[in-house]
Amino acid sequence: MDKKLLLAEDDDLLASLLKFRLEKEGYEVAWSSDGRKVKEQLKKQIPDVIVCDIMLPYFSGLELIAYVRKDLKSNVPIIIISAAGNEETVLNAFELGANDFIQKPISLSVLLVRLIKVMKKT
Amino acid sequence: MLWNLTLLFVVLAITYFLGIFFYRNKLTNKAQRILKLKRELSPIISEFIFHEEEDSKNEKSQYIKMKIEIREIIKDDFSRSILTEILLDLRKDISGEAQKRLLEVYQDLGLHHDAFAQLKSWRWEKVSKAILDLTLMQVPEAYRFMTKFINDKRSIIRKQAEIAVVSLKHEGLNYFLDTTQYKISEWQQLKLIEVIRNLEQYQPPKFKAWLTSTNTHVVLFALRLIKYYNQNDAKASLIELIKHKNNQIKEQAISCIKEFYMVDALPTLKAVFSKSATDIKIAILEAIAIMGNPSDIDFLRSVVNHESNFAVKSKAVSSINAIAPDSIIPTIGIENPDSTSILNNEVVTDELRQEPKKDVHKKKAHNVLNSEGLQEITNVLDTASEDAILEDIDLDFLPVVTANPVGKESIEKTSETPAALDENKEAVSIDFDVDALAFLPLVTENDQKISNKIKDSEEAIASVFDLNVTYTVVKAEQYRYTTKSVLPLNKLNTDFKRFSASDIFELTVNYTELHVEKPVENIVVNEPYFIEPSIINVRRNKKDTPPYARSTKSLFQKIMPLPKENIFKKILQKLIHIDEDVTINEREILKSPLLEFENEFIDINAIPNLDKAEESKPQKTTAYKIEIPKSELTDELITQWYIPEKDTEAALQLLLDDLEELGDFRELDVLNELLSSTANTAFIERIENLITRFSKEQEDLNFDLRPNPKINQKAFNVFEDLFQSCDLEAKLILLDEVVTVGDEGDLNFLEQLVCSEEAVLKTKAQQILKALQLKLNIPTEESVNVKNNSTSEISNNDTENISIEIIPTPKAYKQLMNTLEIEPSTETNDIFDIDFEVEFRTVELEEIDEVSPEKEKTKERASMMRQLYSFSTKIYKQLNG
Repeated sequence: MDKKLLLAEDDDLLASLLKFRLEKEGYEVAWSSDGRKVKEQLKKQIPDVIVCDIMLPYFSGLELIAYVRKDLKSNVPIIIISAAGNEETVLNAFELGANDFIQKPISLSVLLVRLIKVMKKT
Repeated sequence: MLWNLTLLFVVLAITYFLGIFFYRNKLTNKAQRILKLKRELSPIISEFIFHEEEDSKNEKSQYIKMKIEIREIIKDDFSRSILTEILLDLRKDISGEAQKRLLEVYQDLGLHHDAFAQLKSWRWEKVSKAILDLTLMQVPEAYRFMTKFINDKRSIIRKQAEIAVVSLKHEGLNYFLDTTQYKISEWQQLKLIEVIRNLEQYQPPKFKAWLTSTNTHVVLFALRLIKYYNQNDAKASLIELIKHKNNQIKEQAISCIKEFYMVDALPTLKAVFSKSATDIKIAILEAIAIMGNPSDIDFLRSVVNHESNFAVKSKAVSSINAIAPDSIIPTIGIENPDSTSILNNEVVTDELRQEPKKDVHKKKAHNVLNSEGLQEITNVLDTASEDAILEDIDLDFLPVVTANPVGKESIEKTSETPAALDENKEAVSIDFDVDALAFLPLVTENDQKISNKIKDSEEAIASVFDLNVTYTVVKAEQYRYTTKSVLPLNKLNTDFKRFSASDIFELTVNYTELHVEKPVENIVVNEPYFIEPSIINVRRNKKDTPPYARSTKSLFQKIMPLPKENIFKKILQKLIHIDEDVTINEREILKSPLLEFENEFIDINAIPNLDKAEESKPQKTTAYKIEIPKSELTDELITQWYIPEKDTEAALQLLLDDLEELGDFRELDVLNELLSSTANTAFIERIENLITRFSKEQEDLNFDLRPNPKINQKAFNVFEDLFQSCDLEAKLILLDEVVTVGDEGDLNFLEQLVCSEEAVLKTKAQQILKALQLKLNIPTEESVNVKNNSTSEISNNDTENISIEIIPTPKAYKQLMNTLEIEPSTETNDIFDIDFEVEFRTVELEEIDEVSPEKEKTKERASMMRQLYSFSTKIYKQLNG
């Protein structure tokens, strides 16, 4: 059975590329381009893994992590991706409950490996 | 005429509006077209990037199909440019294999030819963009085109080309260094180094080849690269470059020499020193400090002596100390602690008597007043048992009565006492190191009249300089030890822990008479300096006590311990008789800072005379007459020193004082322990207060340290964003839109607006907020109030009815929308699902009664605006088929 992956990324091109690649790897990818939609998606169904950009419209990636961990009380693995790889943001994300962090530019091979790893851990 | 003008302006206005609409629609349509194209192209690009040979037949056929499709698409220039844009965007977001494939796709589709074409453009921004694209997409064929721009007159193109040349081919850097004729800025150098650093498998050339370049910037860059790549085979060239006229090159060469530890360069460095600029001099001195040897110290000393620049001088001193540590020690602003010692052999000469005048006096008087100078007194206390050996006890608890401005210097050894002193049979001569007697009052004899108007200590010190004093030259090496292992006490004080108790007890103290030339009338008394006697370790071992330590020990027994309330009082009573009736002319009391009394065991209040003196301090200096008894210290004089025992109330009191002043939440455990152990209600109350205070501090601290789960990043609100750049009218229109498309996220924004200063906006915001709350089925304030009131009035059985009343109904919502003249959307909250053509259900519309004519007019206006809004789009669409 395919693993359900929620991709929260506001860059259409990158999201499309990631979606394409992840689907090719057997993931069932649901893509949301802003925080609100991500929340709606999460309300409907909690995926097996979330790949989330930090900078998102309406709700940032950090807020979404907090929402998943505190409001939904879910332990679903979350990988955050961001071009703004400053230490504070990353630490904040991990503090809130992110499982991994990948800085842009993303190596898709690395992303796939990390996805497998975080899913194994949880 | 007026009509013509009106007509003209109307025509102009129409043209203007039409122009705006047309241009706006053009931009909008372009954006839409780009978006549409991007959506179309992105899966194709993904397919291209992630296509593999092992893909299934179906995927392969799909790939071929897309290849054909994309070939068709890129025939259009616009599509080509969009595709290029997409690829460039993706280039920034992905790395690894996918990025490599992306670069291949770019070239496979022949998009680089567009960039080549743009290189020929006369517009610098196009050329620059083309160079950037080719560099980012790493098109090796572009290299030869780029080299032409290395010496371009336009600096932006030139800089872009430099980076392109260096990044496209490994030999690009060599070519660039060989050919460039222009300046290479510092920033550009850093950028180039960054590019080189990221080149894969880059083998740097020998950069010393460019040290002979005629372009000084190339030489400078080569020096930087030499240092970066640790190419230390350019010794001769580097040494030669120290002599370069250009300071930057010189400095960089010195930096390289320092980095590679080229000792051979030292003579050259010294040779060029004198003619160099300050920065270079400092760099040279730094290099000498690192590579130099003791033979260079002479050179450095000459720099110290002859150089006028402070920075260079300081650097030279630090270099000397770097080569030979502690060669030069600080001399300025250093107090000479030895000046307070007494020498046995020194006879005060006339010259010396006359030599020190005000400056010296002032300094030494400060020494006396300064508590630091008094901290040197160290002694050992034996308590009840003779066998007990105590370490680390300070005796700075006694008053200092200065006998002359230089204080302790006035006391001299018997054997070397001047004749004048010897003649005085009543003179007291003390034969021991002065530090051992630091606990005694230092008495100042004054032959001159001290001014009545002295009010502050500075003036008092100045007056002390006029005293007729006997001086002693004191040198560190002239200490004479009476026993084999006696050390100067000041040294003993600093390195106390290095010495055993036996060393301390080897100190021999011989009592001598204290000489006073005349009956003491004008005496300057320093208030005592109290230091809590601390007993670090008590070793009760007879064997540790040498026999010759007896004499010292007896002194310690005399001194310590004394109950705190008695010690000062007794000593003052025994030694000095204070007569308060004496006028101020006769004597002044110099007061050392009372800060020293903080946290000490001594209770100042227990010393009445001192209290009086202290009380009188702000108003007028009190005069006292003091008589010095001409006798030795006796056992009665110095009795037990008070040391509070553990677990006593006094100890607890002190502990609480300390905790109150210095403690924080970490002391809570201690305080809780104390609370459980003490029965004294006063203490309990005090401890409880402290616990409360520290607990609060801890809470505050925990609050600060707690990771904030709330994210500070505020969610983006489109209306709030738009509001920032709107005028009032636009804001009102936008508010209408809030009801239509808004959701919970906009409630906060509306609540903010309700507090707005503008009345119109405020009213509107209130209405909109209410409408939105109704729309979202959120109980409004009013409804909540109704509910509250109702529940209080009506019985529980009726609650259900009330709740029915307060839940916003579609009817109420639509009524409100009608009031606001807004057409509501469908029930969905999603901004993307909004249907702007919503119509109310007939039933509900029927329920809406009575619409005022004014509202009708507004509605018409709104509808007209909408028509105008869509008019331009329609025109454009028609024009474009």
